[in-house]
Amino acid sequence: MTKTRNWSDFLGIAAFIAIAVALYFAFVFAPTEASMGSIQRIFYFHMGSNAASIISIILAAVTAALFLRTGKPKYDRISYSCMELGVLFGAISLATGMLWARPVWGTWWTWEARLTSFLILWLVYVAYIMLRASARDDVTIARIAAVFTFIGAIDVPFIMVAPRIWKGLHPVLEGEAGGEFTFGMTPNMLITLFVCISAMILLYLYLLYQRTKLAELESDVAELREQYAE
Amino acid sequence: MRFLRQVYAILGKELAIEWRTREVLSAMLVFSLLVLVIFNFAFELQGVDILVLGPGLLWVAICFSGILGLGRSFARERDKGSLEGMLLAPVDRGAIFLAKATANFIFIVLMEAVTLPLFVILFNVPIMWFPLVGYIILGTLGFSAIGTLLSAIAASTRMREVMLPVLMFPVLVPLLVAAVKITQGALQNLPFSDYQGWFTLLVAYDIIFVTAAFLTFEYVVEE
Repeated sequence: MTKTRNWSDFLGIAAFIAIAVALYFAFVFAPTEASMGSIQRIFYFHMGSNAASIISIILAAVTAALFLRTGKPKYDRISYSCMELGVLFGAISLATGMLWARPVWGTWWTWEARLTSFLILWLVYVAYIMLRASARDDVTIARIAAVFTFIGAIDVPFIMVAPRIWKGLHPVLEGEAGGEFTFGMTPNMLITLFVCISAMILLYLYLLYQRTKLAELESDVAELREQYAE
Repeated sequence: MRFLRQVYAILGKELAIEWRTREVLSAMLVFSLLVLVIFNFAFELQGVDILVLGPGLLWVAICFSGILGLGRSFARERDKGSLEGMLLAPVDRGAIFLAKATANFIFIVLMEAVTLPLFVILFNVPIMWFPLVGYIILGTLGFSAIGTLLSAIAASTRMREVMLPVLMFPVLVPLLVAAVKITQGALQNLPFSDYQGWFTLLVAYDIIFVTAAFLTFEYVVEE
């Protein structure tokens, strides 16, 4: 118990320091972007939360598959926590993306390929949470939720591909988004991006650990309550 | 062989129930007609280029009324506890899924067989039947496979019919976009190469999701 506790504390401290360092990099170290100005700095956190929420569906699918194979509740709890954090980091990613898009593109939202794909992925996360919330009993819901996670994860490649074919005829926005940011970055910007993504992923892992722990405690409480009810 | 006999028996049961009550099919038909009528008012479709808007309209009608039918598919079983009966019988889970999915597929195709001509008549669409019907059936295939699985999932929650669209639409988006695009291509008489990408996507979606739904179904109904 103490050993895991130390380990999780260490992860928490690491995440805290990493976020602090990331803030320094994003606001002080990184140069101000020439055409967009300081608003571009939000992009580092946008990418970070984006990366975390995409990792989320992969982790959730793997643990869901493990749960279906082994039937151990541990895996279900991790999977559930992943999906919940997927909603959180997805929302952060969407919100920061909109804040950035408004001054740069002049619009909060555009049905560009990447945005569309991501919104649909986020809706899969939300649907999962809705499914969990309407559980009739814990045993059944864990299994059907795992199946839904699995289906959602298989859907991801399609979600990624479909809007790209859709927008295949209009590569203009695609170039605006991809071109300027990934290739027009100075080395310092790339370092900052890397630091921010790593920091967000560390934070994600820490939250995942805590959320899984919480789910474990919740099920312990439910068990105890059942024992006393008898 | 045994497997096919099981599928055949359950499919027969599904069709017999529907034939006697006709509740699902009639609800689906009326609903799809209503969607077409409401869209006409909502979007003032007179004078608009129906070849551009039409495919989306048609698929929304198919989708909405399809979901209506899919929702009943397992809710009906849960109501009277007949799913337990079926699970207790020495029947392969995969056979239950295939039979259910085939039954849903047949119902949706029957609904489309009325909706499509209605669409042609109401909106005065000049139509090429040959590739279009094939494309619609291709879209329906993936739709009913994934719909059957998610219907089983939704039926074991508290909110049932409400849950089905919530779960289904995000997963269905790629299929829907692809189906709308190739329907558009067929309606506008575009060369096949213009929408070949969508066609490939739709076929891939069908194959992968029919397989995935077939393989994961047993986990959903297991008690």
